[in-house]
Amino acid sequence: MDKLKLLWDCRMQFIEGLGITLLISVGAVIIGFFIGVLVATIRICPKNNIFIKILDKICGVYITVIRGTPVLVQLLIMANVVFASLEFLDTNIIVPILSFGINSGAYMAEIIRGGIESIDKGQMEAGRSLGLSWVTTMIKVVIPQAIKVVVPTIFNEIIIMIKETSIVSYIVVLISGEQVRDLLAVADKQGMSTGFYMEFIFTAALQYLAVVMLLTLVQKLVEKRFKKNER
Amino acid sequence: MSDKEMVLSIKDLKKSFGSHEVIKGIDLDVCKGDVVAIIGLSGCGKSTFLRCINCMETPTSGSIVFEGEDLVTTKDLNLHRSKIGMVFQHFNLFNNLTVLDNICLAPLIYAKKQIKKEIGFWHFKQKSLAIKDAKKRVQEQALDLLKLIGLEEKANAYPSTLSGGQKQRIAIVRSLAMQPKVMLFDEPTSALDPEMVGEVLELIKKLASSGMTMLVVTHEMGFAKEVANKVLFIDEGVIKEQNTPQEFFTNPQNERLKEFLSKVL
Ligand SMILES: Nc1ncnc2c1ncn2[C@@H]1O[C@H](COP(=O)(O)OP(=O)(O)OP(=O)(O)O)[C@@H](O)[C@H]1O
Ligand SMILES: [Mg+2]
Repeated sequence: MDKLKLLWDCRMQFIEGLGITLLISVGAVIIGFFIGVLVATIRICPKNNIFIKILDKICGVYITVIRGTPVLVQLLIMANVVFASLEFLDTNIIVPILSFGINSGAYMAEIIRGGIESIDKGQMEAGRSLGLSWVTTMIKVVIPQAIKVVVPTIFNEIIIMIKETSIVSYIVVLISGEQVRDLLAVADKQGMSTGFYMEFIFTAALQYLAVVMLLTLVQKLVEKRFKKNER
Repeated sequence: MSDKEMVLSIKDLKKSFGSHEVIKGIDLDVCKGDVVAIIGLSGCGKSTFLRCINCMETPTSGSIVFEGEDLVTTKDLNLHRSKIGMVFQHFNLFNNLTVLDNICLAPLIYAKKQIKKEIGFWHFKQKSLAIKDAKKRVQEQALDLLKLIGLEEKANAYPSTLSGGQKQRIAIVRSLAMQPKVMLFDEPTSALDPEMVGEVLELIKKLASSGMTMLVVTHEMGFAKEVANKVLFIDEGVIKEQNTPQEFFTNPQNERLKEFLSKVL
């Protein structure tokens, strides 16, 4: 019972930690999704001028580099190289949000591109043959079908990323010398200082689990919504 | 035939994929009401030729004059394309839309475009009334087309619930909804179960006898004989022979055609 009371006494720290974890996650998802849509669009659109071709190459390099290096390394580079000189910013939050956002963007881009490319080419051709533009056919025909394909994988990517944010607590010094006080960091610190390490870590685990389960629920709802049309 | 109105005029059409030249110079004039059957061995470039006509494949060189404009260089390809119906081997109905919406999508988008141009951006009320009107008109037209093929009860069904024959007939009327000047058919019955070929050919015949201009890539020799007024044999990227169906099938000149016909007839 003492243990429970101890954990309860630390509830404010836990809430703050969970808040930080969610803040990083939500920020990263927004950035990642935005980048993903943009990059996927560039990669699939008809390459009919040199400007698009160059952008396409850049996007290709971005995806290769991001997917080819560990997210931990990306975090360290972001913290120690890119943001090293910007001391006036609260880099402890911005660095993880940006790092995970940029990381997630590469995966989202590939998921979205894969989803759109999985739709039969005949759908686009039929639209074009009726005199509709590429953009109109994309919006009215291809994307609505691709969304259904992509939703489960996007959620999967989001879930993986939320859990992955827990590594930020182990990069103790980003720049300011302070630890990022996310959910795991709080559990780690309080667990150490109270001497009930496992209890605190388990509590953190339960909170991650709760977030992921909640998200899975949302996923089910979204999937149901998109399944409504079409038998 | 020479006094008939010209619909399509194709001059020296060539198409290569990389270094592989598939179409090596085809000339063809299509007049109003013509039904042109296109036959040839598999892989000879029949589909490529047909797809070049509405620039689904951009020709490497040559010209395709339609409605007084060269489709290869025109600025408004989409508008011209909307007047060229295309029917695919695999139907390509929009899977995310009901049958009715499949038929209405393109006409509605064009109607809205027209309304925006005529009424102007700022007259919201007037515009929304006009759009409502257009929607009703387009839907009525779509239902009429569905009645024509006896599928009006499928208006709210999704394509996944239809048979191949039904899908293809709906794909045909979807093209018709744009009131095309010419229709391109690429093996419209090749993907169908045998018992459904009849209903689709029947509809195409009906269209032909109503005066629709069309080019049909087909392996149905009986259909070519019966419905076409001109048959083309494409081989090695050119038209090796073109004639009326009687002459074409009873008195072929080209050696390769003779061989081909002896195999398929
Ligand atoms: N997008 C493409 N890229 C590269 N080569 C192509 C492409 N489309 C067609 N080809 C080639 O062009 C040639 C003609 O193909 P096409 O589909 O026009 O033949 P077809 O006469 O329609 O054959 P089938 O009777 O099998 O439909 C083939 O050798 C094919 O490999
Ligand atoms: Mg073909």
